[in-house]
Amino acid sequence: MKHFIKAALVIGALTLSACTNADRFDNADAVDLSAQNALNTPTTIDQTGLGGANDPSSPQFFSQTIGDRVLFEVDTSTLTAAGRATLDGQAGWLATNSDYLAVIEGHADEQGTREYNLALGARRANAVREYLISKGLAASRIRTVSYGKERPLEVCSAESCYAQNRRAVTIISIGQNS
Amino acid sequence: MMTKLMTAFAATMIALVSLGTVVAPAQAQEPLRLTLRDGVIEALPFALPSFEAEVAGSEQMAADISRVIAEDLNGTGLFRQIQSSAFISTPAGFGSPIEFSDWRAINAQALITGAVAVNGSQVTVKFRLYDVFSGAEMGEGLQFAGTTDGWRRMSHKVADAVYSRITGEAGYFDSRIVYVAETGPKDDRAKRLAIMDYDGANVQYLTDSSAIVLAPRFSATGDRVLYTSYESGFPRINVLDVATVGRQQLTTAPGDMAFSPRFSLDGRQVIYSLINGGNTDIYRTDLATGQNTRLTNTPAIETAPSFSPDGSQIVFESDRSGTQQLYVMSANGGEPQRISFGNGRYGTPVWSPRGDLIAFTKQEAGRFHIGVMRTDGTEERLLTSSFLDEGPTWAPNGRVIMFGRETQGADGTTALYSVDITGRNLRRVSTPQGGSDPSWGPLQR
Amino acid sequence: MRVLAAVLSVWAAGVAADHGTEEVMGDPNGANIAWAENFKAQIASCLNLGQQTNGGVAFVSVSFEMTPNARPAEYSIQLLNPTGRAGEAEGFEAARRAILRCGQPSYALPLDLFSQWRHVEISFPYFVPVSE
Repeated sequence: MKHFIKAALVIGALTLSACTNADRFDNADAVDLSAQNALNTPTTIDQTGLGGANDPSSPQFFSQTIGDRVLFEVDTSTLTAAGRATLDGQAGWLATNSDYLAVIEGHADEQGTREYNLALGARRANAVREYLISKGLAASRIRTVSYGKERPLEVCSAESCYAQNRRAVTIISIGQNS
Repeated sequence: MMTKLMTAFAATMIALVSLGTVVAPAQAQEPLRLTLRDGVIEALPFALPSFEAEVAGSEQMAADISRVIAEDLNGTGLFRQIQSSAFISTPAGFGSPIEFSDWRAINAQALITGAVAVNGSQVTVKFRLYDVFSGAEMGEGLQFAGTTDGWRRMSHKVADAVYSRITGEAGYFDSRIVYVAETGPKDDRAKRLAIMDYDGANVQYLTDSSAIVLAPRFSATGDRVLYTSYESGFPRINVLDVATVGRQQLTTAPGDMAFSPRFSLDGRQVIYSLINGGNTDIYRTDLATGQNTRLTNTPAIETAPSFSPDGSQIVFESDRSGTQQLYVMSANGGEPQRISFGNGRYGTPVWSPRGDLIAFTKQEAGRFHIGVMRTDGTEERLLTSSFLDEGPTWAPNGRVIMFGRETQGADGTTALYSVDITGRNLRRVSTPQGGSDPSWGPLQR
Repeated sequence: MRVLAAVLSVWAAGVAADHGTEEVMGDPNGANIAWAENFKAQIASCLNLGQQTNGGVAFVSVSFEMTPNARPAEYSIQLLNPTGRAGEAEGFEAARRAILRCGQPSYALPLDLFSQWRHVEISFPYFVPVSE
């Protein structure tokens, strides 16, 4: 839950900076920023070495710099190109930091019935899990959980928010996957 | 609104004098023979003089019981209470002769009289129901006795008897709802199980809000509740004993997550959805033997199963066709028949306790609807329309449906609503906070 | 209002479907039947059908006598050919209430044609409850 809240703050900050540039909420920018962030981070990290988000072995680095989430189109669980790029970063990090286990949380937007969305979130989480396994991670290190539409990140009833809510988030922790 | 919802409509055929086989009375003149093709659906006006306090000190309870009976009847949309200020006379006492002409004059069709006696912690409630226009009692007077803290239930029992005698159908007022009480903003919503009377009174919480809880479902006798809980960190099915509020996790077939449970009518089996490797299928578990049976086996999402009342069939939703649609299969699995073919997506089907209809959630063109259809999918009727309506549950007599409604936007809130199966009488059910996922329990004994 | 309209159409369809085979019979005497139509409409306006069911629509035949001043004789109202079908008793009660309620203070009928409406038989629709 802690990771979840931090991640929410980061997204909020990114959104805010997009707003200062654009004068109005521009969702496309917000999405691009997070994708860009995931792709560009390798060039901005090691040189600072200040710990936290800049320490490549820290959970903050994982969630903020690599990006802990991938987004999905409406009613799909297919990984996008941006999503696969983020997951490549996650796979690399998890391969290096082998003490960590991962739980993939699948989520859906509010446009759907509760039960269907729970099943859809599971499909999304599983798509991420399968991808990470295909990149060489041990299946035993990765579990999935679906929250359906129970844990929206953004609360407006518009596509700009729905797009942020249709997500799979990789939560890492040191310890046993029970 | 409560008066003539409509006047005569669709007057088609006309009346005719005809040669018939009926024996003509006294004079050799044939009777005038007419066939009515229509009538009105209007609320039936009833008079309910406040019940008599038979024992000193019973006045408040007599007034409260009278009020709840009237609220029950008014709430159906089928009955309309006549203001007491219109009364010409009131009965001299319970059981006194009724001046029917006084009640006819104010157009009352039904008259309900009663008496209440409180003795310590005990209370008795008596009532009689009269058909004003025939000047006769409808059924025999009845008496209910119990403890004073059960006064609302006794009121509901009187109202159920009145409803049943006039409509010829079973009532539903003395019943309870288990639902998810919701508080907090949309992105930090706290959910806990709550149980209450059908009218929103006597709310009690069954769980705290430390873990997400979803979609509680009563057993047919109302003794247990199945629900989905994230207590373990993953969605799992719990069984809760209503009397003790004790709960335990259901041992399902092996799987990553389990949700969307329902009891069979006899309470011995549970059907539910199980997720394995991202795929959702329907399973059945026998509570006594622990035996698990897989009922669907496709890569599609198969969820929201609901038994037919005779236990022989299961209706559920599947996206095997590409979109969410409704299917009916044997209770043992096997090839299902698709029953929904309209535009849009169909989910959360629930078989009526009468067995004649299936209620469902429909999503079409950005709107959500609660609807009903016959069990073969014909005669679909949408009863509601809003930004988000979902999760219908049937009143025990199969006449009324309750569901959850969520409003749009960042400040969106949840609430419970009920609607008649004809689509009339949409009402918000009073709950202390937000509410979702109602499950209507049986008529209590 | 859209929902209400849908209900009405469903209901109307239900009535037609369940009783669609009945024949429309003409007046063999060619008499003016406007007053009879009007009489029927008066009673229909008091016929409270209650809640629609999914059991379809059936009819009860009710006979009664009228007084010369166009009021129904309460004692004379009776159910013809009872079948014992579910809902029939309630259907008859609703019919009786309709006859009595709308007969107050009296029906609008041509008093000079009393012999033609002295004895009345009416088929009233009712919703058949669905058996458990």
